[in-house]
Amino acid sequence: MPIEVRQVSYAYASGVRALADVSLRIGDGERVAFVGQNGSGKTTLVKQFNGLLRPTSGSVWLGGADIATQRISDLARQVGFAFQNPDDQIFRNSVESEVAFGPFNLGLRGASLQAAVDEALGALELARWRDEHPYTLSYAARKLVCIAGVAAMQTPVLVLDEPTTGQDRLGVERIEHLLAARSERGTTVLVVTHDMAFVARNFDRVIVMSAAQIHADGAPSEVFWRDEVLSGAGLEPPPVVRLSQRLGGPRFWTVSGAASALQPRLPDRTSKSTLSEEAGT
Amino acid sequence: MGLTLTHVSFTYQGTASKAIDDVSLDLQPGRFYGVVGATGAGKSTLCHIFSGLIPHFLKGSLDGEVALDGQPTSAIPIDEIATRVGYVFQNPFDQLSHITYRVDDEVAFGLQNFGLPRDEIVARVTHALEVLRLADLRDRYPFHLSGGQLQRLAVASVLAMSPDIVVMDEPTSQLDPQGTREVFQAVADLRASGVTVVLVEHKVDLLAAHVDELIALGDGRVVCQGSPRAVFASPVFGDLGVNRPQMAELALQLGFAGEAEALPLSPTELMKHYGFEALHAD
Repeated sequence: MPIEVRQVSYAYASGVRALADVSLRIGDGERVAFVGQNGSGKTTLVKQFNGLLRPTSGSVWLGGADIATQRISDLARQVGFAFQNPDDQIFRNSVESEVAFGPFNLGLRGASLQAAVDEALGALELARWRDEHPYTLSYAARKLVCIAGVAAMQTPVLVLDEPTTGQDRLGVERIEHLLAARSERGTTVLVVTHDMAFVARNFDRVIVMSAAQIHADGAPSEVFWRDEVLSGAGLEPPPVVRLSQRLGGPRFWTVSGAASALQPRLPDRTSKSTLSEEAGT
Repeated sequence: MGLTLTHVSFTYQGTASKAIDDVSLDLQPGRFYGVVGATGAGKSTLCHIFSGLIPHFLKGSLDGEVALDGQPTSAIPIDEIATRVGYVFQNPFDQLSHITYRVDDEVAFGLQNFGLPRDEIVARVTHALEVLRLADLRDRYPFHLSGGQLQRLAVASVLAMSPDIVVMDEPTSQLDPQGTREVFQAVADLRASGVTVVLVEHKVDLLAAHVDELIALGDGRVVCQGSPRAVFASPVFGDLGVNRPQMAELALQLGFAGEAEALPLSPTELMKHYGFEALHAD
């Protein structure tokens, strides 16, 4: 489902201007990461996509229709949104009923509801906690419950606000698997994040926000090399990008990319060991 | 002041397995400790033991001995532990009082509870707001702050208490890189002033650059402990489900087989280790 943002400005009731004349087009099934400092407008922008916030001026188009004419309940079928703070979202007394809440409200019942819930719990490996009260789980696990609850709605657009905060490596990998699986089905996947290594591994398009505007929009191989834009937005590329910049030559932005690029340049290739298999990513 | 754990185990009430299993640690005054481990490895439980919330507030069975400056924490009232061990919660919403209307009142809240003289409170609040760069926001309503500003406020309110030990459970989880650097800088300042710091954190690149010692937990046990390089190079670290700093990870993928203390943690170190020439100076 394509999204088009046309000259959107947004000001909070406090008078703070969070978006200033932002225009943007996201194609069907794209994977896009929004990065930028706290307060740069990232979350405000993605909240326009499902009507959680309505533009002060300008318009947002979803699948060719202006969302100003659509009700929140209709938008909820199209854009799933997982909040940054799981405690803003969780309110049911079991993991399973929390995850079922969204799809139930979209009208799923019986076996199809159960299937949607099971699929989301399975994708994030939460099935063993289905009967637990969400607040007996850790913050990281509650966050996965929230993401599962939104994933279970199986919306054509999935928006995750800071999905990797507090996650360990396995948690991040579960989220990455979910995003990859949804992408394969054609879901448009959008994240707001500070985790640049996560962006580098999973997203083809990075949008840098700063002071309520878009300052860069492109592939990691391009955006991570625009030092002035990143530092202007208070961001740092992953250390592996710093290495690539200093070495020159072919660009790499993930550890696995760096390993492939540098393997042939090793001075003594006999020193390779089996640790590389163990080390993963 | 030191904090020592001797063969400590803890099981939460109503659960079957030990959250912390036979942990012995000796936290030396003025050192900066990082704690890493997968979700459920026992990081937060360990913080609760350090801060006295276990056994004073959270129920369960605690075995072994936890001693603060030689005195068992079970025998020290929690309000006294609170003056000596500061605790920054994972979620600032859990930390803040929810009854103050201004940032500076929030920082003063703990001090007022200790009954400190007014001048002392004002001086400490001013200092804490300055260190955490919150002075310009002092008259704002706490819950109108951004997530990052709230985390800095939580750290400021603990810093104002002047504790000997500060325990922080992922204080930068919602911060952008700049906010994270600010908190790490504030933590470095604390440590430079002689405070012992224990920091639970997933941002291993920053931990590697700042801490004196890393404690890696797996299934409630200390799996390895030592300098960041020694811990990241340890063969058992790979099974913990915790990332290594990118340069350490890359070196291992490139077949690093040297002494642990030569494990590269920065691009410069990696280039030097492998003899890669820079295209241009950094």
